[in-house]
Formats: sequence, C-alpha cells, structure tokens
Amino acid sequence: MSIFLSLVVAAVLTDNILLSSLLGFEQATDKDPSFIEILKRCGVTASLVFLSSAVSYPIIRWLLPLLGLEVLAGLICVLVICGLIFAAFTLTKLFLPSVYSFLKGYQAVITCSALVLGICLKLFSAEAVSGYGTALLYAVFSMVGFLIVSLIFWSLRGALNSKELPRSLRGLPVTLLVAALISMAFQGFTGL
Amino acid sequence: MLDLLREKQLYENWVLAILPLIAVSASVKTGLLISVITVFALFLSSLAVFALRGLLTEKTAPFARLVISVGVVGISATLLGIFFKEDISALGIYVNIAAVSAVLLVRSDFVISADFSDLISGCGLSAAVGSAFLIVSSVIREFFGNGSLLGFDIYSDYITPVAFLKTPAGGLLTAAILLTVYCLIIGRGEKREEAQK
Amino acid sequence: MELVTAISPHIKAAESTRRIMFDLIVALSPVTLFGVSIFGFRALLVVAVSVAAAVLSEALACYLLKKPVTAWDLSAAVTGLILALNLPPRIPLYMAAVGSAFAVIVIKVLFGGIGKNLLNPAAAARVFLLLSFGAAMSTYYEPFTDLVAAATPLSGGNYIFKELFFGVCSGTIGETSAVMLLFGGAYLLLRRVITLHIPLSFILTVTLISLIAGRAPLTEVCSGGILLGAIFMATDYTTSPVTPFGQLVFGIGCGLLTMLFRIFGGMPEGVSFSIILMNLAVPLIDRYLPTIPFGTMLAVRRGDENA
Repeated sequence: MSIFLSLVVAAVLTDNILLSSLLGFEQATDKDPSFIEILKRCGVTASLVFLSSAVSYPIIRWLLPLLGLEVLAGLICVLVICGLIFAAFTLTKLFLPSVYSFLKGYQAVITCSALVLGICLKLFSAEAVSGYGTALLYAVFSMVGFLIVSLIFWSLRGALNSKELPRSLRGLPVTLLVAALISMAFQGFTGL
Repeated sequence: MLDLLREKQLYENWVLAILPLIAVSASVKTGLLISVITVFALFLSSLAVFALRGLLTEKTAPFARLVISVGVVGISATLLGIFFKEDISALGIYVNIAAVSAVLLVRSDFVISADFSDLISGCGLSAAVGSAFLIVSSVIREFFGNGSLLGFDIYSDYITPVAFLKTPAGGLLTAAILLTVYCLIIGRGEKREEAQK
Repeated sequence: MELVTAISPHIKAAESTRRIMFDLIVALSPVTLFGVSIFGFRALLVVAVSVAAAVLSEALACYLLKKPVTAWDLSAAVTGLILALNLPPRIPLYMAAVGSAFAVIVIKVLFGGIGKNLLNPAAAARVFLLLSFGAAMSTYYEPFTDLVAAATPLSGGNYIFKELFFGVCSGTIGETSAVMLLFGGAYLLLRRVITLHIPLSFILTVTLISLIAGRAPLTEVCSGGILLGAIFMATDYTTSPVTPFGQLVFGIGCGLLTMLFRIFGGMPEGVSFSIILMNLAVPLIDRYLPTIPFGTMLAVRRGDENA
C-alpha cells in the first residue's frame, strides 16, 4: 500500500511530468479550451501513453538486453508510438468512423509530442517503478498529474489574459512565469 | 530573413520546442551538449526528409523526421559519450526528447515544400535562436544558481548562490525572463523603426 | 470591445489602501518588537533591509515598466515586513533583500501591481528563499544568545505550551510569540481589516487534525508559522476567495495541507507552501462554489416568495 502511495505521490506531485520534466507544456497551456475539451484531450493522450508503455516496456526491458541493443530504446519507443498512432487512425477509419472523426481533431496534439515519448522513457529511470505493473501505473498517474496542472492553467486563463500585464509579458512569458510559480509550489510535496 | 525574428508565432514556437531541454540544462556544459545534439538532429533529419520528399506526404513527413531524428541523436550521443561520458549519461531521457525538439523547431510542411536555400536558412535560423536561448539560459542558471561557469567556481565561496535556479522551476523562471527581455528588445526596435518613418 | 472580468475590489483608492496597510503595520508591531527584543539588533537589521528592499524594488520596477509609482502606499513595506517576520534572525542580509525583491517584482509588479497578484508575495518569497538558500533559512537561534538552536518547536524541541504561547523560544523573527500575534489579529478584527472566516477555519482544521493524529493541538497551533500565516498571510484580499463560504473552504484547505506537510513531508515548514497552493485554487473556488445572491437574505426575511 505504501509503495502504491509513494508511486502516486511521485508521479503526480513531486516528479510531475509537466512541472519537473517540463514535457507537454504546449498542450497544457493551450489558449481557451473548455473543461470538457481538456478532459477529452488528456483522455486521448492518456490512452496513447498507456498503450505505448504497455507495448514498449516489455520490449525494452526484456527483449533488447537479450539482443544487447539497449541503445535502441529511444528508437523503439518512437517506432511503437508512431505505429500505434498509424494503427489507431487506419483501424478506426475502417471500422469505427465516428471514433475516427473524433480522433482526427486531436491529430495535431498527439503527433510529435514529447509528452508521450517522455513518459515512456521515464519509466526506465523512475525510482518508483519496479516492474511491468508499477510501470503502467506510473504512466497513468503521470497523466493524472498532467491533467491536474492543465486544470490549474485552465482556471487561471482569465488572470493570464488580463490587460494589466506589461506588454512584453503577455502570452507565453507570463505562462512560463506562472508555470515556474506552480512548480515552486509543488516542490513542497517533496519528502511525502 | 531577420524580420522573422519578430514574428510572435515563430519565436514562441521556438521557445516551446526547446522548453523540455531547459529541464536538463542547469549548467553550461550540458546546455552546450544538448544544443549540439539538437542542432545536429535538426539539420540531418530535415536534409534527409528533403531528399526523400518525393516519397513523403504532409502527413507522413513528421513521422519520418522523428524517426530519423531519433536515430541521429542516438548516434551523436554515443559519439559525444566517448568524450563526455558522465554528462551524456546525466542527460538521460532528454537525449531522445532533443530529437522531438529538433523536429518541432521547423515545420514539416516547410521542409517538404521549400527549396534548398530556404530550407538551409530556415533551419539555420531556428537552430541559432533555439540554441542561443538554451545556452544563455544555462549560463544564467549556472552562474546565479551554482556560482560557477563551465565547472569553475567563481563566487560560491563568498556569497551563497540562488539554488532555486538549478531546479526545473528556476529553469522556467529563467525562460520567462529571457523571453520577456527578447520581447522588450523587439518592441523597442519596432518603436525606433516607426519613429524613423 | 473585449470585456475582462476580474476579482473585486476593482477600484482601490490610494487613501483606503494606505489606511489598510497602516492598520496592518500597527497590528504587526507587537510581534516585530517582541522578535527584535528576544533576538537582538541583528533581527532589526533584517526587518529594515527587507522593508527597504521591498519599497526600493517597487519604485524601481514601476519606473522601469512605466507604470505609476505606487511605492508610497505602504503595501510594499507591509510585504517586506511580513517576509522579514518569516525569516531566521541572523539570515545574511543579502538573502533578505533578494527575497523582498522577488516578492515585490516577480510576484506583485510583473502581474500588474496590487490587486492582481496570483500568490501571496510574502509566502511565495519565503518558499523561494527556502528553495534557494535552504541551509541559511533553516538555521535558527536561541533567544537572547548567539547560539545556534539545536532544536526548534517543530523539529525535536520539547517545549511546553507556556513557552510557545509567550514565545521565548527559537524560530523565525515573527512566529514565536502566539500572544503577540493574537493581539495583532484582534486589532485587525476590530478594525474590520480581516474577518474571522479564514483564520478560524485554518486554526480549527489544524486543531482537529492534530487531535486525530495524536499530537497536542495547542502546541501544534502555537509552533511554527501557523498563527502568522493564518492571520496575516492567508487573509490577503487579492489571493483569498471573495465569498464567506469560499473563505471557509480556503482556510480548511490550508489547514489540511499544512498538517499533511507537517506529519508526512520533508520540508521544514509547510505553512507557506500550503498558502500558495491554496492561492492557486482560489480562481476555482470563486468560480464554482455557490454564492448567495446579494439581497436574498433580506428578501427571505421580508417573506418575498419570488426570492
């Protein structure tokens, strides 16, 4: 139980994928999405993360060392992710057209995302991960942490677009500044 | 070409592309290493996809660039690892993240459709701005956050440096400050041009 | 035309801001005088440097950003003062200055000045200093001496309630004396600068959780920065909810997080972290917690069926 808790705390709070590893920034701080939009976007990304970790973790953890090709870990991850995206689009186009039109809207979001690749690779260096099951849990909870930070940015949208900000700070700079402050606040969770 | 430096969409895109790499560049050495790797991956993947542009469409180009990028970073990391073993191993997953950053620095549809000289200048500009941003932020973070430069202690015996800048939060703060300064300089340049007209 | 909604108050006259700030300074003076008297002249220097750095940074930043200079409305001075009360008495002076400058420039002026900040400046600056100069921020001293404190009320010290209540123990300049802080709080309540909702819910939540956790509640409340935070930092108008119910939720959240950090966390003090984390939740609280429309109670009393 305590292993589970420390894994959750690490994935969501102390080693937050956005605030500590700085991945997925563009997706989390996108302008003017609605609450449902954020949930949908994170849901799609989370499914991709889950599937790619599920496929790539066994290959990299067990197959590559047998062949002595550990250096190919990154390449394997990228191939798995691209393959899954390709498969998802082709299969849904053929069999589930409604899902296909739903996914098409998120193509820009999930393609070339450092977020998915980062989570898959992080599984091999995270301390809390000790096996296949914990790896999958870690991946899912990383996305939970990402969702929480996205929601914080969503709720701060109004303040970030305020006219009172100095002109050179509007847009990306103030978003970076706020992210720095949120990251600073989350460092209070270390040691939990 | 230099007018492009003022395009908000462009320079915000460059900063967002290299933002993940800021997490790992808390010292000048690692900043330089990761910039070199990224620029290498950017040029080689763009040139390779440009050469193959007959075979690729707009949709498949990003994936092709990504795969080639990852291959290139793997090779460059291994090569650099011969000389800088601990620094490269400290980079960890960010070697592969640099591959994604390299792809994000230049749009894939631009790579396929532009002619060779435009491609080179576009990649060059993105690489220059991206790596300049990264290296300057790593200099600031190491100087103020660690009291050293390139590993040589400068003032940490007398004044305690601000360790906050070594954390990812400090990296975000440095990025925010650098980007604000950049916007200020551009704004001042625009005002001067308007005054001259 | 773009209409922007912001959290009230929308108009702040310089006179009213200055009066509130003056009240805050009066309320903080018992604690400050007490802290200086038990920790000596060095503590006074820390306070002076912190206040001066805050006022100067505000003047400089407003000038550079071509905004009207608001350094004379005393809000920067209050920020500097509250931050100083959160610092150990012999912290190197340049650290206090850096912290003050961070609080005023980054947290306050860059976001648009008073009324627009996202986080409480003093709490955020304390967190910044803790993460930047960890060793110096955690070095406490015994009162009246030059000795480094081996134990503090929060870590390892075995203090009885009376010592904590009157405050002759180690800690930061302003957090040791519960009685002085309570005097300040009473003054602010009388002058209607703050209301009871946030401090009371914060302190009651801490009491409740310490009872459940098997820790002595009165000692828990009087050790560390809980009273200082609950009365002076969590009640900041800009960074706390507008509605009374929202304020209660805010206070409870702060209490919960503080106790979480105290019981399980690795950081030396959890109050500042919990305040800024709840500051981040304030936009959500203001938007989504139910509010009673203005005038409903009056209509109900009149027996109006359409209310």
